[in-house]
Amino acid sequence: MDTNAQNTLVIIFQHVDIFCTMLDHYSDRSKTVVGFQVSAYEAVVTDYLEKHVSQKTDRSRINTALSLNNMDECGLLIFVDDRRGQFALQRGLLQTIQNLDSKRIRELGQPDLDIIYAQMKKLYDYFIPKGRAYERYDPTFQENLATLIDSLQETLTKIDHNTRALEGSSKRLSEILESHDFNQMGMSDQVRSALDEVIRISKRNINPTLVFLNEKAMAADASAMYLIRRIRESFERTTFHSELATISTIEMKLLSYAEVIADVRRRMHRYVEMDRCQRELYNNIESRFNELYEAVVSRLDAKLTGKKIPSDHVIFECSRQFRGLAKWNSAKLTRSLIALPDNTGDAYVHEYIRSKLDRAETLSSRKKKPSQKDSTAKERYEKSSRLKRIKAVMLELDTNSASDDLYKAVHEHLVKNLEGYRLKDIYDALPFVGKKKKRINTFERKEIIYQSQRLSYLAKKLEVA
Amino acid sequence: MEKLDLGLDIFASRAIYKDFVTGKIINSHEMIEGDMQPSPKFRELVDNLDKYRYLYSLNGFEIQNINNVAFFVTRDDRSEEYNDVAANIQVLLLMISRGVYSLGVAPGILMDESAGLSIKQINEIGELKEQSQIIKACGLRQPLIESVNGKLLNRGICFCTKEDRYILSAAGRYLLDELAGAPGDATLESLVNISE
Repeated sequence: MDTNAQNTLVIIFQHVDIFCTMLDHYSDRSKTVVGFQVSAYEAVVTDYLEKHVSQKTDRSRINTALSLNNMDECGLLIFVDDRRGQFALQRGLLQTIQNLDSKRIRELGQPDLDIIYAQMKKLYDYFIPKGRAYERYDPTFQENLATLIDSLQETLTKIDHNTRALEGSSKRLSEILESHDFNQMGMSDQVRSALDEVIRISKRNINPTLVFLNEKAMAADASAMYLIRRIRESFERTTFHSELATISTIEMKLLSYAEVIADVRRRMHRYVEMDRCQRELYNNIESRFNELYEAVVSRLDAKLTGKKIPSDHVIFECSRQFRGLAKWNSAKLTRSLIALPDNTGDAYVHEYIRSKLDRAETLSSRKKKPSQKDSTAKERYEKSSRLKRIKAVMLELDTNSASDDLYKAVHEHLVKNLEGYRLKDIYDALPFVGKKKKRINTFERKEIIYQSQRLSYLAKKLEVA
Repeated sequence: MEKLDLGLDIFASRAIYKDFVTGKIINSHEMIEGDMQPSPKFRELVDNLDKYRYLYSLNGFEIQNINNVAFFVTRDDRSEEYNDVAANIQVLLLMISRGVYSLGVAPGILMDESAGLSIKQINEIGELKEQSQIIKACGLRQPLIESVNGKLLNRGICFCTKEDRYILSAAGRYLLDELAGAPGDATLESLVNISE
């Protein structure tokens, strides 16, 4: 079912990406076809519908509406040449689509600007040598004048379109980049590609266009704007008033775009600069890391265990300001580090040395304990059998008698029951006092004197736990 | 004994002493209750720097200033002996900043208190082949977080946020900027400013 012209237009603009893709395809310089190839168009439509329209009925409806037959019937095509397989959209419609397209930037990279420059140079070489002696009715002059006006108008259109496209692109890319927090996460593919696009646009379109439109660059012979200015000046004080007015207007308009592009450039610049900083930072860190890694690898031994890099190695130069950072609270560090006050005479030094000497003498005079000889088997046996006897005696101890003074009770018990008792046997006997009662320490000092030996102790009481 | 009033904040002074003696750097900002806030210790030091310099010089210490954003103490008589800590800090920072790229993360993560590197990410960096060789050669410990805690966190080179993520302190940023290039070159600081 065919669609009427109005609905067809609506569908065209709803799916304007199809035509934008076609425009992209034909913006390639190698394509010299006037209009579009039917086969290319149909392939783009099919591909687009497959990717973007899920409903089968919708696909069929859009396909029919955008078919060349339908568009031709609706009067939207200039021609369809079935023999050559070509068609062309109505010029107005194509221009509208181009103007709607704020995403794509075409026509004005450095090569395009070079072409404009070449055109201008050719015209410059024709007009300037004439020294304003223009003959209005000279056919060559008329032809060149017409070419000049056409070229300037074409340049203006291109710059105008490109300026709008650059504005649109920068806005779209800014939105993507602004939505990303550069500190937090790795970049998503979308952000990465947006950043790449910003850098590409900046290099390929914005900077060359700015150089092209820069008034300061007009002084240089290499600038197209310089050539335009010289041509315009050559028409001053001649009778070609309307042509001069046209050239002046176009020149002024072109220059006015410089400001718009400069704005876009400023907007894009922060991202370009950020990327540059990031790359520079990465390169610097990478080279430092490689230095360190090489130093490590060069120290690897046969077992690949590595050797420690000395801390005064040249690669640690960056951290020189942090040298001397250490924990100062260990005794090892602070003990020997008595900093003697400056300019206070020798008194402190002498005192310091004297204290050191005292300490040295104390150390040298300290008697060493004679090493204990290993006890013999007989001694060990006697000690063990004595302990057994103490244990047996202690089993009979009445703990009630020890409620006030444990040591005294043990002493009296051992005096009565242990043969050959000595005062120091108390220490061997204490572990055998029953655990049923709790020992309470007191601060009362007491003494036991027995066989000319004296035991001084802090009294312990036994209490029911 | 006559009481001598030097006009110093007694509490801040004790906190400063504790940090200095334990080999910790006092930064202009520090983590206070989970938020990065201006450090009262740093403020006290800046306000009375001459007095503190004099007091510490009496005990043989010298207060070192790092780019006006951090302080720590050294001893003149031992300046040649204790360079290991500085070297280790540099190695760790370099490994982490390089590792951040290997993980596909922007280096700004080290600066943003709402971001930071997780323990898992730091250990992943330590397990990278080149990094693990360096760790061995420089006598550091694995998993890397142990070395980071011992050499960076306890020294005031980095902080741990309340989400257990590690970010650089002012001193850490300074050292990383030194590593990233000469003054005026691209630095993390300038990178953050641009992206803000």
